[in-house]
Amino acid sequence: MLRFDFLKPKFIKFLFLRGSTKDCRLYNQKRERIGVIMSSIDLTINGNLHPLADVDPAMPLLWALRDELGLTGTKYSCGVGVCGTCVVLMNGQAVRSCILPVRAASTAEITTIEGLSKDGTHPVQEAWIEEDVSQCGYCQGGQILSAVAFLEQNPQPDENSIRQSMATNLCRCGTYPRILKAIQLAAGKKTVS
Amino acid sequence: MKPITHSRRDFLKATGLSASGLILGFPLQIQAASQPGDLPFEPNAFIAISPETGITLTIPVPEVGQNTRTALAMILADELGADLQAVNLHQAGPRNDVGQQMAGASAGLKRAYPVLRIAAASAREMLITGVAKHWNVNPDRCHTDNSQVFGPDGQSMSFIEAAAYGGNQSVPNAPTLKLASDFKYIGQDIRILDAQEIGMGKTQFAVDALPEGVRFAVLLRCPVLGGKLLEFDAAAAGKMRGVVDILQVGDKVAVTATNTWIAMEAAKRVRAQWDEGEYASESTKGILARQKAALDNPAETRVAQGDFESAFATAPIQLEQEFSGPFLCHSPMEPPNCTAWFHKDRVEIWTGCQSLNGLYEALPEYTGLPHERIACHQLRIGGGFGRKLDHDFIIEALEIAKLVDYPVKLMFTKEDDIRHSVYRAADRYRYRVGMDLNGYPLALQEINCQRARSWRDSAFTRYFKHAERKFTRLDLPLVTGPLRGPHDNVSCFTQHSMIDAMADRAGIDPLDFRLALLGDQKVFRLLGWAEPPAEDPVMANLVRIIRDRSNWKGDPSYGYGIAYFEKNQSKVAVAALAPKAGGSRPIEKVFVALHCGRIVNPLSARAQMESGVIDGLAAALYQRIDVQDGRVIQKNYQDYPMLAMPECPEIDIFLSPSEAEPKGLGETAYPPTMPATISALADATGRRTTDMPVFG
Repeated sequence: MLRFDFLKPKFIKFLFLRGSTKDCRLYNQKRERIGVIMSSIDLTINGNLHPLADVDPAMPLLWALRDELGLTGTKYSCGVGVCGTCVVLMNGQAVRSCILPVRAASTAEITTIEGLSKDGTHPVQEAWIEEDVSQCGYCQGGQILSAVAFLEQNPQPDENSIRQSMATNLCRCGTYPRILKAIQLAAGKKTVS
Repeated sequence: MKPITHSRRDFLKATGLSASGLILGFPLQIQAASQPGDLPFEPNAFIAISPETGITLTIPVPEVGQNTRTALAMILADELGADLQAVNLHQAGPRNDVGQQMAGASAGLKRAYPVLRIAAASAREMLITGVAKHWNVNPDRCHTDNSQVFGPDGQSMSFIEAAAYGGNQSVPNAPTLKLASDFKYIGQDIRILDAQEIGMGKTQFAVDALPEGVRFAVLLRCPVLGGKLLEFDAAAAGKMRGVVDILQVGDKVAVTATNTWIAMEAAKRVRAQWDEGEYASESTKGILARQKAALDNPAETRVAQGDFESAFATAPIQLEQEFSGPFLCHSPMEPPNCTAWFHKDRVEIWTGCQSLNGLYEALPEYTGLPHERIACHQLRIGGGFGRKLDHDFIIEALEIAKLVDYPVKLMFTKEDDIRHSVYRAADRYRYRVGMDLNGYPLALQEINCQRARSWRDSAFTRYFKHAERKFTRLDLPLVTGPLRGPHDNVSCFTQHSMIDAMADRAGIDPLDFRLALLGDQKVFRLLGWAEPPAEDPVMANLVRIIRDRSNWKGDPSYGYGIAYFEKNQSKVAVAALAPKAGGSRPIEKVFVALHCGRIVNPLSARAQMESGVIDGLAAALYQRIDVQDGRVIQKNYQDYPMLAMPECPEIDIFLSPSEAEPKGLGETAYPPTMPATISALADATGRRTTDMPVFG
């Protein structure tokens, strides 16, 4: 099929199924029977308390951040925890918010890329600028937070351990050579550029 | 920043937009751009200066990570005499007054460069003329620097103040451009201007638009191309808390909800019945069989030059080989998405589209509204690679938004992105090559299964006195379109694989063989060739640079591979080194030499080379899209892998100095990295991959 054959908008009909209050009640009853109930959850994000009312506790944290709280610095890409774009810090550990149920985050301190520093002066953020890492920039929040968590545990890493630790942070633009240099720079191990 | 109005902007007209390039015409009549004191000073569609706007540059070209924003700011700052850090950047939506607005074909910077220089030089001359009159001095003795106009007697005035005097000057007909020796920024390593905002998560990508009351939509599409929706049962999905609407949109079902996750979960619970249509029995295997049949009986023949059949029949050495590349998809980190909001009598759109000229033309059709009732916001694009040249995701968002009274954000899940992409077409090439006993190329036949870009202008036919090309255009069960270096990213692999086969058969080193093909005097004479098959001294020089920098075949523990590529006068040579002992990295070192005219920002140019190499490695080693029962099998990064950091090679980049106008470079390193990689692995292991990918 040719590329533009497919671009003709076509409306046959549309069905209108606005979820009614009654439907919602039925749905909730069913969810309760199988052990899932909607609940209120308090999230502590970047030091601020964000109460979330009426949220499915199984919903991944990512969508609470982006769609409910408008914290769009955390990005969606794979949705299954393999690419690292959505990484946030939970009590200082890098976690993948696209597969972390919001209930699991409720008792933790969450740091998103917006909260890593007030003015972009975290040493890892500065190293990212110094090494001119970003291309499209979409994955870089997750990359930076992953690097922050890694360097907390490994303040003087060798090249191989950096490469291994970042193995599941994908960058479609291919900024890896500069990510590597930026992490080395942030770790105080300047390399010849 | 105050939004810039579009008034007074239509005198800078794009008079010619063609596939081959942009000719931006400046009108010959000279007219007052604005009245004295009328602010902002807007000498043309690109520049606005006032106390409110500061010095603002309108960026016409979509930003997909190629760093055009910084490059254009550098050009403006140099021609205008502005301080780079003081330039505000305003990303333009689709318009008709700023010329080329496409991030594709490596052409964004190339096309904007001459236009923006003239626009900025005009502004500089108008500011100087206006201020010189006010000072009552000779304008020829004034100049600009650091966002100020300087006079002959030590006077100075900031651009912001000078804007009030620049507006009443006529637009110069042919402003004097600066000499390259006067550039402060162009040619320097300048870090990406948006870096801090990106690093703080503040940058707005298309997906981050959240208008008041937005609902989040996911579309259920037939898994087979062109399938029809028969019926669907939305009862279970409709009961989910947070689901807002479930709508039939043509042959698709849209679920809108209070957040993306609920929409995705609800879409999984919609039971749809499809008439899967004519492609439902298609498979990768079936396509391969059709490709082979098409190679045996190609539909069309074009003679590039000479008489292939007789030259081949009498050639002392005859070779016949086939090579292929699979379907690929772009899979940018930011999946395609678009937010649209139909108000009563107007529509607002937020997206990240690579082809804004086309979008501008098409929006009235897509929306049913005239331009003045369409507001389309272009945001940063989280990776494109050609995927977002298409408008499918914008059209779909508009289709849904038309049916509801709230703003809708259509999100492709990663699975949707991989299964409903605009794929790089799978293709298969068959070669028949005749050579003499010294390896001199005599006759070439190239047959493939997709339309060739041009019959005569093949990178390969130029080496042969007798060459013909044949093709059949196969109907494929997937939508196909551009992906980074379209037309060439299969053929660069197949042609260089064939060149390697020729070198191998003739017993000539593959790098020397290429130098001889390109007309390197020393080498082709040594091989006993009477004349060079082609003369391309620039490419030959890049190959020699690569030879020296890689210490070609100097380390017996590596296999070596080389290839080169040319597009729109940009030339690049790539060598890859594969460790014979194996290890965690299939390719340990890559060497790149690039010639693409004046390099505006070497730091960014290197980034694009690194990007092309890493992308090319993933394509050569891992990536393939397969079809079974008409459906794409792969669904996410687990089975459609990107290269990851542990496998990332060391990349050495040489940027060839040049005074010529800038050419493109975003695509250039991608195609040749594939054959260089595969040749290096063949050299290291003795086994050559003829069908990409290596590990697939």
